[in-house]
Amino acid sequence: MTERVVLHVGGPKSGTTYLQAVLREHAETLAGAGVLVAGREQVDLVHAAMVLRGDARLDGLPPRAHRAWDRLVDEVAGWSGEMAVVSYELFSNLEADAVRRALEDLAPRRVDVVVTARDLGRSLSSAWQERLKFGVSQPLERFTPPDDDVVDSEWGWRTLDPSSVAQRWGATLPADRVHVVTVPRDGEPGELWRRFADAAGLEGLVTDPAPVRANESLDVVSAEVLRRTNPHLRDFLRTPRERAVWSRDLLANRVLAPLGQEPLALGDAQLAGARERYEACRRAVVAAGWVVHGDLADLEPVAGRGRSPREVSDAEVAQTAVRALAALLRETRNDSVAAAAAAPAAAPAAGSGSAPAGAGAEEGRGLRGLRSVVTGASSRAVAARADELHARVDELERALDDRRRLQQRLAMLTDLVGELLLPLEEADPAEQQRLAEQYRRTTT
Amino acid sequence: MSGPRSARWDRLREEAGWAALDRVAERVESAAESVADEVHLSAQLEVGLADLERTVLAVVDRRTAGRR
Repeated sequence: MTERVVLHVGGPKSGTTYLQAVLREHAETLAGAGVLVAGREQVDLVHAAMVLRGDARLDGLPPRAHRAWDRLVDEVAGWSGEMAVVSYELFSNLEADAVRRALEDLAPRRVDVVVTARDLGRSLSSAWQERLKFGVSQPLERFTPPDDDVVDSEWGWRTLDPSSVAQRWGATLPADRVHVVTVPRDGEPGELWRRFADAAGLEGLVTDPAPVRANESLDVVSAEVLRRTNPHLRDFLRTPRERAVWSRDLLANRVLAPLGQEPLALGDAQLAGARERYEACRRAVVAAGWVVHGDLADLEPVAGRGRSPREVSDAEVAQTAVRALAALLRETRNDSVAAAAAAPAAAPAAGSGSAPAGAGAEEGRGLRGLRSVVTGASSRAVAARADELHARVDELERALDDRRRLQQRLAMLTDLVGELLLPLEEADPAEQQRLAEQYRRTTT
Repeated sequence: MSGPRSARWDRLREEAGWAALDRVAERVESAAESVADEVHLSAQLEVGLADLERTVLAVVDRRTAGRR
């Protein structure tokens, strides 16, 4: 029975992706030692945090998402070993009430809260970068992270400053169950894992954490290229999800991130503000008596190498933009080749005329890719199971087809509305009638 | 290949088949969750679309009738 739960609650950009990768990679080894890495899929943890926050976006999600936190608690309660680890960085912005509920739901087990954090100056520039990836074009020197009391802020001091997180999560816990893990300044990931393992009580269980890290930080020139590109993306990347898929994952992380390594430097005023924040954080951690793993000095913002994006010249922007264009073409070609290899006989995935090819088209490609895997199965029983999966895939594809038809309908109606909105002297009544008739035929 | 060696080979193939299917089934169900999200959102979109559709077609019909 689970006696102890380690809740790694963030904050963002503090090596959490790396730590979660190590936990998942070694989940079997840890399970053998009685440690559950809880949360079947990352999306379950995302939804669990949304449930605790009472996030309004849950209304648009299926019932399964609404039960994500309860499922997580059940998973922990049903574990046969002694300990469970739950790691998700956006537990860091929960309010006191939500924290209380989470801790009550996990009682009577012992709960240790782990907060990871890095140099607060670098946290500040990372927060700005994340906003860039979601379409903001505000210059770095004008960016100030939202303060602690901005409750829906995922990229503010509320989540980046470990003392702010620990105050909310540690309010009802003894100080020795609140752990602050600092990210080593030299960026050596093995050392970060050792510090985390020390805080979580996992020492010696994973001897080779095997760092696999995708570099998702933009260098100073790439960041400026993205900042100047953002205003041109707003017309067609309208929802947060579209921006996450195309701007963050494709353009920023896959295309721009590998193009350079020159770090971003904060302006003097920002650096001074971050240092002030660090001093207050250090005092709070020491006064509370929380357990520090690493060195609090790792959190101190230092004036380092690098430039401010405003010092980047137009020529540098142009040069990196040209390389980005080539990289974008390469990524697009690679994606197309992979999709074609997965579905040689399938028709190309089509979104509607005006709707961007979104998740539906991606799932469609993925599902068609699965067919070729299923076809390779042997033996009658295996083949029968493969047939069941075929049927399930077909069922899902039909559901996606309905969605595509709906988007096509929306596109046609949009065309018709566009025609109706023309000034009367420019409007073509015959064209309006034609579009209306075409729409009626499609929908009946 | 025949006899015990063939039987072993068949068993290995079958085990590999099951393992592959388990992985596929996991991916299918993961995809199914995304599809369920999409279907849910589509259902909401469809409700709004039906309202808009009635209004737009009524405008077209009125304009057509007005020109006659």
